[in-house]
Amino acid sequence: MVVTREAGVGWRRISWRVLLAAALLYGGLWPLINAEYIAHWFPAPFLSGIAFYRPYSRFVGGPVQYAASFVCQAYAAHWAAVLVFTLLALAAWAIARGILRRFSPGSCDWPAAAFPLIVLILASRDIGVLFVLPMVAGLAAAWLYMALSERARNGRAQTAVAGAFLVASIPLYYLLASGFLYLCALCALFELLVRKRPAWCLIWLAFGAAVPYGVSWVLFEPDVVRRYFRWMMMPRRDAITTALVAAMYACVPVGAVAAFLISRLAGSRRPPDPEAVPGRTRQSPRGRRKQASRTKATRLGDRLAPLFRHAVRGAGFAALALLALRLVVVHFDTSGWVYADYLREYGRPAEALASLAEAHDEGDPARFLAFYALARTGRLPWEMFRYPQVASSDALLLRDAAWDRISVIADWRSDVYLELGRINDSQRWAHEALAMEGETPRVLERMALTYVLSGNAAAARTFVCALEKIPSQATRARQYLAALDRDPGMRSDPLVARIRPLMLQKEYVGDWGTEQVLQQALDANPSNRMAFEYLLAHYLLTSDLEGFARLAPRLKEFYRELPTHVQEALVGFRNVNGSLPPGIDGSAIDSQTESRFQSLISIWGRYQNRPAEEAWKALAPEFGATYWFFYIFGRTVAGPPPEAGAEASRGTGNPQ
Amino acid sequence: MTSARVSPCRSAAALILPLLVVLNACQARWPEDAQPVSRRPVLYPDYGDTVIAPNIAPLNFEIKEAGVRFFVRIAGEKGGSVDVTSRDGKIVMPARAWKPLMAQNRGAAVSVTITVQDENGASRRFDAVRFDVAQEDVDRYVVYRLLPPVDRFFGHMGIYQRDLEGFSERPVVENQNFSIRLDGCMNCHSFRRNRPDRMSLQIRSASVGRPMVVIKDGVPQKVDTSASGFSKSPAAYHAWHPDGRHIAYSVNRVSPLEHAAGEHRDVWDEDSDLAVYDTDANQVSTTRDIADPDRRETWPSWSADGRTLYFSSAPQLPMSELYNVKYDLMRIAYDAAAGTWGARETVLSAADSGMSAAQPKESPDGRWLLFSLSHHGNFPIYQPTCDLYVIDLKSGTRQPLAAVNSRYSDSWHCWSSNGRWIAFSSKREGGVLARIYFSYFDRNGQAHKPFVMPQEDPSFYESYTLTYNVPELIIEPVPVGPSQLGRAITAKAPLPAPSLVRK
Repeated sequence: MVVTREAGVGWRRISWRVLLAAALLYGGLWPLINAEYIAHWFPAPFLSGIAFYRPYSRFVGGPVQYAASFVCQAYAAHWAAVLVFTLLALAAWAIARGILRRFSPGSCDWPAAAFPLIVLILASRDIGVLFVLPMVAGLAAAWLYMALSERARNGRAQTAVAGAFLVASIPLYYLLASGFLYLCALCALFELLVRKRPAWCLIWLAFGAAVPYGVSWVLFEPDVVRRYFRWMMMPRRDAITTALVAAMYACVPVGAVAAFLISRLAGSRRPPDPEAVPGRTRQSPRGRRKQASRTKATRLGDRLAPLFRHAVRGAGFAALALLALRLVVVHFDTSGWVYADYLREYGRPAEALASLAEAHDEGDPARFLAFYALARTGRLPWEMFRYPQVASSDALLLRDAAWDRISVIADWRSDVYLELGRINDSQRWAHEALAMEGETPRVLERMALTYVLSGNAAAARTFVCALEKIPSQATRARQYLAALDRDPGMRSDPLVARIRPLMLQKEYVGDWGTEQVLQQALDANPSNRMAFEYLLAHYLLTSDLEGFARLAPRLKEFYRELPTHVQEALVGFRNVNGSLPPGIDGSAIDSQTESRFQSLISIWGRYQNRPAEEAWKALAPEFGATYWFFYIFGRTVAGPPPEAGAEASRGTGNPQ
Repeated sequence: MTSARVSPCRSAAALILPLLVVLNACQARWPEDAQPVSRRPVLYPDYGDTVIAPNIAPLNFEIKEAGVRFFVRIAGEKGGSVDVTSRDGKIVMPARAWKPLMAQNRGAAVSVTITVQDENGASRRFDAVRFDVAQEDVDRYVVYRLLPPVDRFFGHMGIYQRDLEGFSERPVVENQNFSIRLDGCMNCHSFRRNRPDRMSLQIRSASVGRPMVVIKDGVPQKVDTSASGFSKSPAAYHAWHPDGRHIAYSVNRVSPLEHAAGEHRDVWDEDSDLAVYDTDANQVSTTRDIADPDRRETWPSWSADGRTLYFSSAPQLPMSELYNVKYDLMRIAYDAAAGTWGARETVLSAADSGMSAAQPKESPDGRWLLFSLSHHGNFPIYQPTCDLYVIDLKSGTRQPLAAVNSRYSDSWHCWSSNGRWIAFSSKREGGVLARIYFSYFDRNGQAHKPFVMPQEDPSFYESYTLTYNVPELIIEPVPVGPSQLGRAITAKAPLPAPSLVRK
């Protein structure tokens, strides 16, 4: 026999059906939950060096933040992440169902399913668990309040329950932050609609307003709005996501009111309050269910036309089906640079490029990822113009200060500088990521790696020891420590062995542009292929053919056969300057490139005095992915369509 | 038939006594037959040969030797001993045994004998580790800033105070107290003569600006010194005058910079000047000798009697000559009552030292001047070459604190109120994360091998990724808390703009 405790109601059996449903849900979520992706998108810091949640204990909602950070460590293992989501969904369903049933005599099993579905959609894709947990916890507290209130044998006992909850509201607010608002709102609704006690409703509303202000006055928090809404957020993303977040936050309170109104509208009545009928004994929850079952015929919508009833029911199921579909589809929604970044970080650059090619995003983050993935796969000078491009090399290193305070950009900068051999810059951005992001495994590992490379094993060890304290990372950290013990320089590590020869040895002080940054890396090691290709890309993107010509003599050091875009640029250079750059002879350009260029010139000749849109349309099918096309239009055909292009190239989108 | 009645006491005894017997049997016994090993054990932190304060919290440590059972006997020269055993090598000493032992052995030596038992039951006894217990206490509290090893941007940070007689640490103020978005930075807290009745700190925040917060007798107020017209830059490094009324401060135009090789962090100070803020009159005063347009003056610090202001000063050079920017150590006489200045004089020129001087701190008895020397610039914490030096103001001789300095930066030093202890930030373990160390400074001007601020978990620092800076020793706890300071910092209006007097 499996027993559990239903929030404050009593011990009872769990139906095997529930366990079966849980098992099915777990199995259903298994292919839908991409734990690696979630861990990548919502890296949860874990403060390893400090005692249990001490740093979180000094502000409202800190405990739930700590709990969320702790729970998120489960993303390191797929089975654990799926378990977390299964439990979260089951808890959300049970809580929503339990609450809705207080407002309607009918079964709310199916309407309540909307809540976990929305939670699953958002938590597996768009918002961190941190923003879900306080709400769920607040709803759980409200459910408990309702259950205890209903169990109370008389008015005095009910008042005692309410009083106890109101007294406990101060620690509850400290624990739950914005989740406390759910407790207050639902208790107020419950008192008003179900218990018909408007005075208590007002008291709950008053507490909901006063307690956050009072507690935050004592603990002092400077931002009044955040005193109430800490850990509630509306992500600035697409309209669907925003609507889903709004639906998640409003689902249960609005659902409760709706359930009440529908039951009233339908003329059904809740079984009379035992307190209100003298001599009537209280019913157990099971008894209430039986009663509800018996009165099913007179329940919800019994006075409505059957057709309308069926329509409402059908619409409800359709909405649920749509949500479920969204949950399934969202997993396969692999467009966008966030997913591409995940693929890149997990060593799947080809898939990342495929994802980016579908995205038609010419914002700097997407372009950065395309450059990086192309360079790592050795395809940059062959394919870079197959991806959305604009006439700027800012995306190569993402050096624009506008990106400075975004932790994922700090990670990327650290990555690209590491690959370029600029260890100090990589280290600098790892430091910035540590300050912004906290002790996430990837930041700690990067810190350790950069200090190993700079010959400081003692510093590296500190960060690996911090990694060791993170749940689920201990084994990997111990392997790292063992490697450090064997050889503080970790010379046998493939990544270290690859990067170390590229490292800058010469000191440069000052603020350098993209060209100098890349040139310095190339000077440090002339065979630094990534630095060479990035410099090449910089010249192409900025249409700096003179710079390109200066680099051209070194092409043969890297390529036996010149890459496509290099050949295109050489032909373009010759077309502009009358000859190829020094060190390059005509045999370097294949005949196919020559003939394609002649074809382009021919079409261009026909359209050059006509509107640019016409030239674009004429050239795009055949030349949209060439350097020539980019040189003419400052963009590639892989980006958004020309009409939207100007807008898209300006609005680079906030990766956060 | 009579039923036998069992006394509850007997029942309890029947249960508890066997348990006690079992526990006693399990208790480790000091292995008398251990084989001597003629070397010291490897300990972390290494407290061997240090001089410790008699009122310091237990110096818990970890034995980095292979074994399954660790026996430690700490015995005082003047008597008393404590035995501690461990299975994981972490030696955590009970405070109730530690404190009497230290009290009994003030001014005497303490030896730590360590025996390690391996899995076969064989025991090794290492040479004893010794440390001395000073006669004088260290100030009970140390206040420091704790933050990630930041470059330019920062997240959560705060100023905290630690009770050195135990392990409790509590925040004085954190940036979440005045900016929920954590976009605020705070720095360089200062006290008057190790007393918290006068305290000040600087705030940099997008939401509340860049005020100086002055706390007098537990009442915090924010001041916008840049409103005086002296400089557009906010106050930075500062020091309370012993009179508890005046604060000398610097205004700096600093910007972080990165090196392509070696230590990657550095700071460029484009220009800096000094001024004195009168907290009673809400007035800023300065003179050309400390605000010379041709020079950069920074790191103000008062002498113990308040008649002299020490500072660092360097000629103006362009950033291309970063490595040639070396600061002289200067001083200037000051009459706080009359508000008059003497002539500036050089205490130690960069030409003589070949190094850059910063952070001068005169000892409470006025005999010693403690300061740092580093290769260039004025941001010692980022200079691996930074070491601590002391000048005997009686004889004028200068010497490095040889027993204190390490291969990495040693800086942010301060004196205890009795002048027998110095606390400082050191990056000696890896060069990245600073920890607070304490060194006994004897009457002959010798600083002894320092010890790291003890933590309850001896391996605490091995995985701790925050860095400590600006340790300031105080004798009492700070009288204001985070909420009070948060309110003062976020108060809508600061004090009226200070007036400016140039002399």
